Amino acid sequence: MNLFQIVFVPLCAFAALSNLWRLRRGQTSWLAGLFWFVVWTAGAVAIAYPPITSLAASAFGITRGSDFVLYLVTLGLLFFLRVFYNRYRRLENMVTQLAREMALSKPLTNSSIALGTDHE
Amino acid sequence: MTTLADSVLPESCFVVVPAFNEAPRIGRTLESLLQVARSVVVVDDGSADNTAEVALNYPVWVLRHPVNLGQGAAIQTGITFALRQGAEYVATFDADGQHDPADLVRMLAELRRAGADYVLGSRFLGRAENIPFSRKLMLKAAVWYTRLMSGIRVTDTHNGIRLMTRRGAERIHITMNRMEHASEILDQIARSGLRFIEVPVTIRYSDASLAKGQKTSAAFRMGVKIIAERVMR
Repeated sequence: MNLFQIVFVPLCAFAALSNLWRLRRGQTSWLAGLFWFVVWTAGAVAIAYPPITSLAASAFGITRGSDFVLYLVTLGLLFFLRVFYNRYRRLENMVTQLAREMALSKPLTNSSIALGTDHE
Repeated sequence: MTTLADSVLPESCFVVVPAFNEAPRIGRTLESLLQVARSVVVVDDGSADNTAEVALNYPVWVLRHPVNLGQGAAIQTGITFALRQGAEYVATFDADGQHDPADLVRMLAELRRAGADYVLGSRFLGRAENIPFSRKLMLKAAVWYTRLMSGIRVTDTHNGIRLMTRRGAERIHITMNRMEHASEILDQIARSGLRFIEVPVTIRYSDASLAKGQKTSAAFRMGVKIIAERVMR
């Protein structure tokens, strides 16, 4: 085992187990718990035994296992980037709508200030 | 012969003035704007200074965003308010005093003459006084960028003085809160299929307007945001 494996295999294994622990305590959903358990376990296995990625890669017609992992990670990141960008934009639009309606509900003029009708 | 009615905007023409921390300038801007406009809506976009209080010294409506959202959001708030008030025409006008209110009167006349729904001010067809070379270069680049991205052929893309009919204003739904809204508006104009024209206007750059205006880095960020909006949605 090289230094990278010594450090990262236990880290991935710990992440997978802590995820199981969270699942058991009901702190995460079954879907999320299963997904992250598979991700961290696959990471630990791939780091401990790198040729396994080449086996998976060859099943998809890719020569090198590291290329296969790189493609998977890139696709995954792009997917999540898009999901979070859209979520951020929806949230931004909601805040904007809220602030807009607050502004529109209380138009001020110098006469409304003089009459004191701008304050509830 | 020019009559008084030709030199002022009708009451049904609402002028939206988005303002953020404009207390030192908004008074002078409103004084000159009110020479030609009767329905003015100042949208105080969460200013930290007393922009709204200064604006309230004048016969205008003031709408206050509780937080700073950006110029695009402020313009949309103003347009929505104007439409709810029954506006027949809606104009936008920057608060920093760089526009000439007389241009609005000419723009309305041109809009009616051409039977268009949008009239866009162009400093490059008109005059840009004291414009720094770097700013001119940046704005020219924005023109080409917009032409590429939106397919709309205009000579000035980020000019805050615009005028539109009610029908045109109803087709505008600004979702990009900050300075990217200028490109979004052009996009929506292009997609609306409604007619637009450009009219020469005068922009007067002062130290204050240059200090508050777009920096090159901000323009770059704006370009990235526009691409992100197109790619990620």
